[in-house]
Amino acid sequence: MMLNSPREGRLEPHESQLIDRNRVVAFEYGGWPIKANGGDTIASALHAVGIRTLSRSFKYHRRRGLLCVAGRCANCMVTVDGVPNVRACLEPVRNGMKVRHQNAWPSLDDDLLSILDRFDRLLPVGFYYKMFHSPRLLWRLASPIIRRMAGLGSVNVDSASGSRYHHENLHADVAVVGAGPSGISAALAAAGAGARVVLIDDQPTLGGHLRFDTRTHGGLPDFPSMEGHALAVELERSVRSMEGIDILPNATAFGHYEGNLLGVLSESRMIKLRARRIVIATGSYELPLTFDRNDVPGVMLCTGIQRLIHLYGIKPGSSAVVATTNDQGYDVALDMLEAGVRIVAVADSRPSFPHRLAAAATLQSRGVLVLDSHVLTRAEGGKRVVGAVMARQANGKPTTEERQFDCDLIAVSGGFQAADSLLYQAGCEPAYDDALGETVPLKLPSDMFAAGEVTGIHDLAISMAQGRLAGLEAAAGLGHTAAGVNGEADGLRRELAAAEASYRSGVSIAPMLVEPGQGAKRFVCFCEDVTAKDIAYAVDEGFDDVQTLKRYTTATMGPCQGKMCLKHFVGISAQRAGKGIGEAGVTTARPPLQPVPLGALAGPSYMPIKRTSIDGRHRQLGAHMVDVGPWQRPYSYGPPQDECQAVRQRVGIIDVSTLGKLDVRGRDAPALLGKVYTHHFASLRQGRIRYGLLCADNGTILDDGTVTRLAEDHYFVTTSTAAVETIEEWFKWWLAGTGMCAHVTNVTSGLAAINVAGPRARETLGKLTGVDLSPDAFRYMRSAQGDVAGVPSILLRIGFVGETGWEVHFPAEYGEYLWDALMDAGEEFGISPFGTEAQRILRLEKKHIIPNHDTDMVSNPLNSDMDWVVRFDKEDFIGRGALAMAKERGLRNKLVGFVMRDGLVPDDGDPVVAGRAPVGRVHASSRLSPTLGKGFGFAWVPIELANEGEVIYIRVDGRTLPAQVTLEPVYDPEGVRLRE
Amino acid sequence: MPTLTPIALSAMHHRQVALDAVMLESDGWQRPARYGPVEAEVERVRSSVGLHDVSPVGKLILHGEDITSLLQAAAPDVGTLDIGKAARHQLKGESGAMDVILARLAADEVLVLTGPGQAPVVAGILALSPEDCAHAVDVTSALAGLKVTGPLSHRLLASVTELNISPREFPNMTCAQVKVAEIHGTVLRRDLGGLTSYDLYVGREYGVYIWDALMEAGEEYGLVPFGTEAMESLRAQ
Repeated sequence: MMLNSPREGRLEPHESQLIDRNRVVAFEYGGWPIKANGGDTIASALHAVGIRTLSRSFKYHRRRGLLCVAGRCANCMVTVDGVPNVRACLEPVRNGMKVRHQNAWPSLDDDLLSILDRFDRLLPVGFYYKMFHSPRLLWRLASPIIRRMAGLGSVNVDSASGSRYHHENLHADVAVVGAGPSGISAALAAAGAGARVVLIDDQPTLGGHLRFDTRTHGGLPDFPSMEGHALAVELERSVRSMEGIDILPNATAFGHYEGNLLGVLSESRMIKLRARRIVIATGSYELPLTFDRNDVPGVMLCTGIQRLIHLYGIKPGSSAVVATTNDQGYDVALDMLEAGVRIVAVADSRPSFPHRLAAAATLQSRGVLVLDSHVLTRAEGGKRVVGAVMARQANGKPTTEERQFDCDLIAVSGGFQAADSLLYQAGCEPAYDDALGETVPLKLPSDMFAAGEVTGIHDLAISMAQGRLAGLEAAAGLGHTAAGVNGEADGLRRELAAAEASYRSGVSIAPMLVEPGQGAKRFVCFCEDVTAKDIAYAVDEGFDDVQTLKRYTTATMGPCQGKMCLKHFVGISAQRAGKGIGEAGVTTARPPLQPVPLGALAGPSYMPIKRTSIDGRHRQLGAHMVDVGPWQRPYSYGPPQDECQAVRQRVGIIDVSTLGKLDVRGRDAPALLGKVYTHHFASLRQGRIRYGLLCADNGTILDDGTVTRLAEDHYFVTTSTAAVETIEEWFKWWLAGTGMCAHVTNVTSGLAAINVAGPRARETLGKLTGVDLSPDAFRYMRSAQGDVAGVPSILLRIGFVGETGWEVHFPAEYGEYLWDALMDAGEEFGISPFGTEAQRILRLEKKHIIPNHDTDMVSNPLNSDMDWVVRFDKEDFIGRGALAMAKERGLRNKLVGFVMRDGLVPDDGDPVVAGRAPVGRVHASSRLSPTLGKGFGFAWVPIELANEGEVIYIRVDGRTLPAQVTLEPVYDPEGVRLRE
Repeated sequence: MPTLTPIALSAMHHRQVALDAVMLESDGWQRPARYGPVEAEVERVRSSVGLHDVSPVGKLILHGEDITSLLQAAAPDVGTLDIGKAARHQLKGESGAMDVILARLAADEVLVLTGPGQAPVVAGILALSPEDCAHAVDVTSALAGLKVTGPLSHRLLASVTELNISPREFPNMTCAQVKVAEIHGTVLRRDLGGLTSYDLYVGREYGVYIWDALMEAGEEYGLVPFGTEAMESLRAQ
């Protein structure tokens, strides 16, 4: 069977309609093939074929159908092609799309969990705070079940949804949110004054509520008398032809963040819009009414019905009852009459409905029963509406004088609520306006403006004037004041003052009365299934503040974020607590005001990775790459122990480009280095290298490295890989404001570095350079500058791995070239590349400490066995005072080397014990020594155990094993080999 | 000792090779001449946006309180050169003359751009004396450079940076230090043959990363990589 909606249940074509009857779109709904017109949404197509139930509710699994038809409520959320929680009333139909219902099993029509609706007494408001908590185990069993039973769609965790979304940054002089009559007026005025404008609207076509308004509007400046939808087209045309306005349709501004940043989601685009001024012209939301079974499919908002009729050409039902608290109900009753719907009755809760209302008179003249002082008390029907019961009101209370009507549609209008979330997110103060019966913005930030129905005034001419004025003021604040603008703004202000006063005097408000009801449920919050009785009950329990009441009941916290319920929620809680509505306040507005997929916020993921200039070659050599901070480095190219042997016996090369490298120049460079390092540097002769240790003010170790004096006022400093940015800032911090002339440039990126080490390093490097490398000419801790394989290089003779070796620093673009040249030159000597693991082992055998790896936050040079670097004879250096005090106090423990009796290697954190008590711990660096064939490493031990040859005990996997303390390197303790 | 000719590679070299670029030697660097038909590259750059590796460009950073007077000595017409502005100048000194672009990044920091291999010459012209508190550091090797050119170039960059890069707010010959795709970069607008064009410089170690990030973000805008031949053609137009 093919359900055919393009023809059935459709009205005559009309200009206001969005559908294209010449284009048929076929899609699937729960396995059924459905045909729709181009321009239909999923919801309009389903309504046209008679489908009324679109979802099951969050808690009680009740049937829910179309309510707002504007993407605000959660009633029509479906899963489309695996994406959950898509609003069917906004989502355009596409050929072949697969639509499924959510939160119902086995089917939407027969949902077994709808049984919960009968057991509501077992699930009172806030039940999850009270039940299943004792014994504790119970909650662990209950919570997954509750989670499964409640809820919305399920997320497809396999989909990498972040990659579907594209991020963009936009900037505007003036951002206008909402492209209804006021927003468009604001955009036109601001752009006319010379500002760059971005206009945002969540609908595909502009014009706001005018799009589904067929009433004739006259008396507007700049426009002849015409029907609302035609005016919307005119407004859209003028805004599209205006220079300087970028329009973002189908885009939701979901949040306002610091610095006038708007988060905007437009389909797959996540836009971060920074605007210097913002005009909020978001209009208002129509509210439902609270009566028994007010959620039965077929109870719809008046504006929802208007949308179905005028945008999609759908006859919404065959006979309708209208219940309203304002003038809106009469307009929609007339619209329905025109669409061929029989109007059974119109009930207005106001004591004497305004007889001056032309629409009411027209209805009566066409034989419609119009009742004043009547409220709807009950909807009849289970699967869908079959009737409505109303009662006469007296003294603000419904009487027992009831009347029952048969109908298949109930149109409700419970007044309006300003769509003001963005204003309050931006720090605007809300105030309840008794005369208007709405919460309105009281005080706006200076870079924000409000116009249109968001101000609580529902009048087209006023909205447009407010928009125009907001646009002019926003532009003027940025210095855009075209000729005559100031005069026009003054005139508008005067006109608006008069018009608003006259509007206020004509407003007739129905008192808001929400009775908790007796039997059937009266929903306030549809998203979270919270009834009027629930709220009254919670207030009685003591939750009389709206902020805590919200958290306790979860009302206003569902997908609609209070759009359908905030006003009623505040109203009923105030009423129950005996407060005025203004006194009760409102809940805090926070982003997002509309649900936003997490994938959209995450967007494309950026994982910045640093690669050395030899990276390509390492990968070609099959290196096992590991993350070392932000860098990727070769861990090893084969077995690390083999690489160690190559370095100890032949020659090895390692890419050490990741070393931090700072170029320090200036006449005061020696003074700067003397200040930050614990050692002397002014005395360092040109061409010499010195090991340097940096301490913080409290004497703890920051970092270490080598300092080479290249020229009188020019030093070349290396730091550890991870610390270079910190150390660069540290140097600059100690320079700032001192008047010293020294400049620190981070040249890490510019220089590749290769360490050539091993007994045959001299022969290997010697083949490529004219620099004299002989032991007497180029001694340990000396430097030279010269070409290596034709590449200008700095050669540093240092011995981190404990062998004769040079660190060659050279321009990074020659990285692979020089690596290849060294590998070729060393081939005859059995050269091998080595990775970080072999380097770690080799330096450990030399007892070379890596700060922040072997040491921690409280390590200082004294307890880390590096007191030889600390020169107390120097007048001042950073950390001197703290270290002098530490020296005076004496040490309590110390970092020492240890060697196991066999090849067993203790783990990071294994305790050093005395008897059974832990007195120290092993460090992360422990490895198997290729030289000794035994496990060895660093450990913190009490000072009394820190003696050469002392036997300590380490607990490894429950066994207590002896180890010997060593204060000397286990390999070449005299340092003969590295000086050879 | 054998005579060896060093070969300079850009950080993005392997990415270009993987795209079947025809690599040719130029000023000692291996550079992508073209990735396919040159006319097609030119056409795509003119209609949407293209990406070109300009890492070999000579680059220096001038630091110090005295850089303004130092520059004024080498280029008398340099004026104040406000922060965020860039200008073409000829630097003259005892050792010769050189055309450069000066981009003022901060009160005490200027980026100097010159031709490939010319950075040491520029450093020589500036001939800093020990009395001046100013220093020139050759950062040619330290910075990977990318040229983003074409009518959609600002839209592509707007997807990776929060800087207001729109043609009106960021006119030709302006510069800024920005966060781009979560890393630090320097951006310089330098239009090319009537097309909006931006130079982007980042630390060389991020070369592959930024290449990948731009290529991915650029899919949306029809981004193509283009080589030195298309570059010549665009410059001539």
